[in-house]
Amino acid sequence: MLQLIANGIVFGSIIALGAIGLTMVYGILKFANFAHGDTMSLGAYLALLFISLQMPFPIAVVLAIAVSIAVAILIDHYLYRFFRTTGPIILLIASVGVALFLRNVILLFWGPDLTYYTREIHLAFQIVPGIRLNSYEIWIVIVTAVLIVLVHLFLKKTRIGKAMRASSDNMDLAEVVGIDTQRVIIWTWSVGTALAVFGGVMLGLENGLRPPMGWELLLPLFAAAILGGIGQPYGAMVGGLIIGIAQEASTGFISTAYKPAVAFIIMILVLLIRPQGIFGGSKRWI
Amino acid sequence: MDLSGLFSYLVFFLVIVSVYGLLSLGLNIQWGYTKLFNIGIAGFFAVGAYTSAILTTPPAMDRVGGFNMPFLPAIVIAVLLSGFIAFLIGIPTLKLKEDYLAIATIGIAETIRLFFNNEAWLANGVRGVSGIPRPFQHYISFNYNLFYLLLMVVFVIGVYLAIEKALKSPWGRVLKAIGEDETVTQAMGKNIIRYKMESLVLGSMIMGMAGSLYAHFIQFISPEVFVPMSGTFLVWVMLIAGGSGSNKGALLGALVIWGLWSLTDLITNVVPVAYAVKAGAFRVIAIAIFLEVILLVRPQGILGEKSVMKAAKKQEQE
Amino acid sequence: MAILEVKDLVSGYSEVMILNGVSIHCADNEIVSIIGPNGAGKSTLMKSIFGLIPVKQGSVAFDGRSITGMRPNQLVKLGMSYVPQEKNVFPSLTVEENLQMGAFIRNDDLTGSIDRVFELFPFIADKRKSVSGTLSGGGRQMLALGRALMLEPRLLLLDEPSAGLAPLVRDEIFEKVMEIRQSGVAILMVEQNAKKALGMSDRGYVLVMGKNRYEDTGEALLANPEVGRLYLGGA
Repeated sequence: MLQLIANGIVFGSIIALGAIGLTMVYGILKFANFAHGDTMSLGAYLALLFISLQMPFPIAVVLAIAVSIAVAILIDHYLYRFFRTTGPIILLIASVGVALFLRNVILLFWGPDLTYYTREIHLAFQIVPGIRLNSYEIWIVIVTAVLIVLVHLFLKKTRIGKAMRASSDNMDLAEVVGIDTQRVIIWTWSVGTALAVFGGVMLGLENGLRPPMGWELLLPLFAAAILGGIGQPYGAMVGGLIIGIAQEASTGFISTAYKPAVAFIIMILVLLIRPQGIFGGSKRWI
Repeated sequence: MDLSGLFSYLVFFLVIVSVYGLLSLGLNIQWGYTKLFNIGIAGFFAVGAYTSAILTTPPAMDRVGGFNMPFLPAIVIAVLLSGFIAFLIGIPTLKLKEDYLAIATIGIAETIRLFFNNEAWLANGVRGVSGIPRPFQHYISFNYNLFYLLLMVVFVIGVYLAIEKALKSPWGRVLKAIGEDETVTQAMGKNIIRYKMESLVLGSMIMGMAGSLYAHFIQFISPEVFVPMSGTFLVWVMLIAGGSGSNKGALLGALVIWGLWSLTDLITNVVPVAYAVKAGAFRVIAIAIFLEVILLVRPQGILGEKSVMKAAKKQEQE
Repeated sequence: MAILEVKDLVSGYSEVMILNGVSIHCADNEIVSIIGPNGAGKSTLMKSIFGLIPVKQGSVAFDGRSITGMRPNQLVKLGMSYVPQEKNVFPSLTVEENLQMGAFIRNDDLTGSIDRVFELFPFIADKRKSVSGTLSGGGRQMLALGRALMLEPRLLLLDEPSAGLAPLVRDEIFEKVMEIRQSGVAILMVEQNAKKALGMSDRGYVLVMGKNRYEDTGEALLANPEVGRLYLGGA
């Protein structure tokens, strides 16, 4: 069981990184971005591309982040922007289209088969009695922790971070107060996408890369965001870990195939019992 | 292709259009009128298809079966079961705001798919259910597919007329009012949840019917048939392109989009087999772009009314 | 020269025009009140001036310069500030952070400005690290006012500053408004509490059905029997 929990923390870190971006976009831009999972996939595959161009791994990741952010901002500017006043459902539908687009572009260029960043086998070693993790997994947890601290500092200490929190509270007031909401939107996409790319790369390291990798994560991502309180980045962090641990722990009792169903059930329970989530997010229900 | 080949293709094509037509009609009730965002279309389709399959097939070694039911009772049960599942789903989710409902329904569709994928005892898991009998097979001496097409047309027209009647009635008007402005409608004293539930259940029953009819035509179903996105996404594009809120639009959309989709299939068929998957990806990319263009340029679709968008705009301003 | 000049303003929401040709002006360091029955368009006027509602016809000039249709973050740079009637603070941000957001366009050290605001509103000074969602109604209103003053605006637009507050708190808010005027700021105020508003205003306008009805000094409007009968009944 201890091992399962450890696995859950690893997996939960990946979910947390994706969920933070998802919840930020939901809180500030007010829509459920169904393309966020595929953004993670995009990041993972772009990193693969740059690695195949002989870039060292860290550089490849940085380049993947840069390109992904550019793509996200372009899509927002040429597509989502026009629907900002029309309503959240049209945005949702549009983002489903984008999700399919991204996933199939990946399929088009890389094919459907499982690929890996490297052929090396990383041996798992024992950290404490009962827990075995390989070096990738330890890195995943460490890097996630660092990223989370950075996000926290960003939101708490920087002017634009505070402006993002303010916009998440009340975009109209942010406009009235003189906050440059255009900049806030760009930063939202940038931070959210960067975290998503990190998450995607980690997922690729852990499980290998397949075109639907991110899409399959969408349900746990939403579950984590809703659990933590939609619009609350800290909630997404906590929610991600909880979902990750719950999913892994569940494999002790039920078939691993039903892991996504675990996330789903948690989400439904949250929606029924405490819809605003742990940290009290956007109260958008009847 | 010779003339009889073309005719065969056309018949097959139109049968599938009819199946999608039913799906679009069902979605129109849910989304076109009541603004319920249902991503779980594939789930209800699956329930209908599998129920029909399991009930009408002879006994099989490794799964539930052997009921050997005739076609009509089976389809009735399939339809009712779809409606029942929709009812169960509606209980926790209908209170939720639209986008939460979307997220919830996607979870449900996934769970249903996982269920059929894994519970081999029920439905043979990945290997699917085959040998689904065709209704009235024995009685038909001429082109069976043509007969099935006529059967489908009967179903589609029947459902179309029934829905048109229902939607033009006071009940339908309440649904429309809920879709346009929920808070006002609630203030008028209408029990929103009840109407939404009825809309959800009715739409899902029609989707189950579509699944059942599909299963009997193709004679084989497996979880892969319901890989959620391509099918579900296509239905959404059909309704949006044809015009949400319009039943004629739903049917028109089914025809046009399935036509486009088949066209892309024909185009990419020239590509060597090795590239088949990539060609398939290209087709989805084309449809995805098509959807975005429609949303940008003519969101109300071909036959839809602009008021759908206006109502949403007004809601934003309030 | 008037610091704010609004001429024949027509504005509203898509099909429905709420203002049908309203003209007002406000001089430097004046307090001007807008009163009138519900639906007269008082809030709409504020929002139109501040670029939150599109203007169909007419003009708005600030310091002689046309600002019709300019967006809020441009107006903030020019020296105008707006306090909405409700949802006028960022609830998950602390008091201090709210004030910082008021001066978002500035890059320099804000301590001086923040201290000045706290001098004016000692009540919230104690609570600088508190999350503003936990403040009382009065506290939030003071914070909202304080936020609007962070850039030392020359014109302050207040939409019903005393709405929803207990009588004692209301009086305190109005006192603060007077203090703000002492510091050299012009104030344009929409108020439901017409008597009180006119009592502290240099001039006032009565709007009815999206049009000007009366315009005079605060005292004169208070003394006007017509105005008193029709519009000063409440509070």
